[in-house]
Amino acid sequence: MTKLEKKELMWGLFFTFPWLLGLIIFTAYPIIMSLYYSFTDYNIVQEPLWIGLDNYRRLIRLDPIFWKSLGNTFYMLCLGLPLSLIAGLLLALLLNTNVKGMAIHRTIFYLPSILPEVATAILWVWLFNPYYGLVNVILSWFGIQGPGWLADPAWAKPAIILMGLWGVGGGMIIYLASLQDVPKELYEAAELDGARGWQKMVNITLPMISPVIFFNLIMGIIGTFQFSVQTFVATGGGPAYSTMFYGLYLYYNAFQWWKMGYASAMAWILFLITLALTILVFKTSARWVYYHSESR
Amino acid sequence: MKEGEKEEALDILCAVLERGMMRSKDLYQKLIRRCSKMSKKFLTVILLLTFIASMFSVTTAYAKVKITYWTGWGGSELEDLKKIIDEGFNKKRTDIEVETVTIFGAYEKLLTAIAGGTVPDVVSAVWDSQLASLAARDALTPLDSYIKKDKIRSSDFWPRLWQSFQYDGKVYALAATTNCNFTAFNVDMVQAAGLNPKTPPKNTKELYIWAEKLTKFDDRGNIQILGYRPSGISLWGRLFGGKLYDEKNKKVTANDPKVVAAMEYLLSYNKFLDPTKYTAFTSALGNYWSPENPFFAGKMAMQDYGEWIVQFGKKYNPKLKYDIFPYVTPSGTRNSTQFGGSMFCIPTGSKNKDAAWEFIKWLTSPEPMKKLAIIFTNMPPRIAVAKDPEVLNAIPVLKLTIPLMEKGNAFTSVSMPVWEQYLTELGAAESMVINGQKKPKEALDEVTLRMQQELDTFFSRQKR
Repeated sequence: MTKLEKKELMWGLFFTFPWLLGLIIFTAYPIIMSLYYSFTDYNIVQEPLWIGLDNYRRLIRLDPIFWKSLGNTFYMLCLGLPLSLIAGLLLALLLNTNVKGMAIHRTIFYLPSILPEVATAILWVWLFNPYYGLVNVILSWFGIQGPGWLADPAWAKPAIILMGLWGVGGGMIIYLASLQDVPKELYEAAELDGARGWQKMVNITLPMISPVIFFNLIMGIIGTFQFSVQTFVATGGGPAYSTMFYGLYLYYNAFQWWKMGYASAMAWILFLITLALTILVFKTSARWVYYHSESR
Repeated sequence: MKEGEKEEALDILCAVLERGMMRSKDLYQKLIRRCSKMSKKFLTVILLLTFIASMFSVTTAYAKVKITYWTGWGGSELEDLKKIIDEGFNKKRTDIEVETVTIFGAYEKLLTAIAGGTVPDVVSAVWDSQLASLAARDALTPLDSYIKKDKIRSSDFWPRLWQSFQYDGKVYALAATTNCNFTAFNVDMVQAAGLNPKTPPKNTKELYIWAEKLTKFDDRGNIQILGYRPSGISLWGRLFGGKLYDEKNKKVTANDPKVVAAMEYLLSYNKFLDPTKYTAFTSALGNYWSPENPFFAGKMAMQDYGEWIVQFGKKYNPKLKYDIFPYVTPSGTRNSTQFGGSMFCIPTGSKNKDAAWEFIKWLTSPEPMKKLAIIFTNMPPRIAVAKDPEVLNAIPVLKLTIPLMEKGNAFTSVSMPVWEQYLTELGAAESMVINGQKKPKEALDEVTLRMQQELDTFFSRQKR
């Protein structure tokens, strides 16, 4: 290292040190401690007691609610996530056309995703109200008697998915940015070759925005596993555990039932699952994700 | 300078000494007025003395122990509580000052405070359902030595309530208020259904008949007015004579045949109340703590309440005629109630335990308890206060609940360290049974198995 490099490193560290300090104290330390706690019986009040892998063994072998919550979360992953990815994309495609007042439309569709989660959850509880809720009132105009939604074990999860779809604005904005990046000349060339709407979509648009789909997919997987606030507010995990998602069950164990060690073990299992899924998606990405910099 | 003047000046000086500098502005002015008549020499001496005195009084003012009290009450109740504490305690005690802080709606704060080691000195945002969990994990200070020292007599309190202050033989809390629950019914609706409001249900069979007769459907089969639907297996299991926990042998007994029978009873309401229609109806109801309260808005013919029904009636619908009856059992031989409320405890990490106890002792003494009962419409935990004519006059429903606390079956939280999780599991089991996903016995067997594991694990690790 030359003298200049050393000096630059010093200054670099000096300028980043407040951030680094924050990272170490508020992120790295809790992460490492949670790993330690996951091998202990820790109830916050008393000193943690080392129990080795017992928390993990119990979770996997003895805890049906753990599996139920994992199942519910995978339900969201397999049904809710693709739906929200598609809905976000469709919305972005619609908002990418030349319609009057586009800026306003975009703002309106983006708005729900910046509203506080708790407030929107309470709002949806009212919308899903089986008798007076707007959802069932509208359904009744078409002669459909709507279900009990959040009150019905069979319909609670679909209701939660619908709640989630309302907030696809965040993903939509990213799609939109990427859609506007697709070079116009590609479409022009394809049109000269006689390509129609759908062909252009499949052969140009989708491949060109695939890095963004990929990004939204990864973020979606992570978000789905952490999902808890809305159900905590709207259903508390019921009825009959039908909306007990992984994140919510973790919360209950940690903050209601005095099992911080157990909850830490859950958090690390969650981390491993998320990691595995992310790696899997990354591995497959070579086949379907195209980057602009790659040779076309 | 005359002798009298000197004396007066000294008196004022003493008052300054006693009350501290902050509150003695008017005294200073008086002093200065007096001093203008005095000799220069004496004036200098007096001023010097005053200065020294105020230095002392500053230190004595600081010597007043400040304790923090976290309460679960909020809104107008909080204001009333603060007034009672300020007038009855803070102004009268020269040694202790209580600062009341509300954690209304953010009760998890207590947990974070314990984790961070920054606990309040007194907390009453601890419910009866949490007391055993906290005590079993050494988060609370046992009060036995204080109780002995200050001769607090357990026989002054309702016997079942005193039991609920305890975990494993030690007392961890006292209560300033409590609530007894019962069922209320709408007199006009009962009469319209051809039932006699003078003879409310005495057993579970009669309750079922009333519930069915009082339930009204519209032409599409949706519930218009709900008669009644009993819920909460933790209560009903015990009303049926079942036991949820064998404390002596540390055995979870959720599948006690009598608890199973209670679950069958709760399920039997499905005969006229389709669970989907029922949940659709209840989730459409207004907030209990609001003018849309379903009972006072005429959407329910019967509903469970505590003493606060008196306030609700006055506030939400003074015209509605209601009457009340105790919880029923299958045989109808014993009237029952469920009670509970907030517990006044001293967290383990409190730095001023003696002062904290002084405050709890005062707030649970007859006078403040009486004031609290009347303002909050509660059942006073002390027997003598509950029977005070002034209290009885203000809260007429006590005439029903007092005998229940005295002679009836009075149920509260089960004193076990995993009770909160047990309650959640029981609730989920009940919901699965009502929705037809599981049979009563099957669901309760599963809860028993799971909670026994939880409990065994807890006790085996408590020997740390």
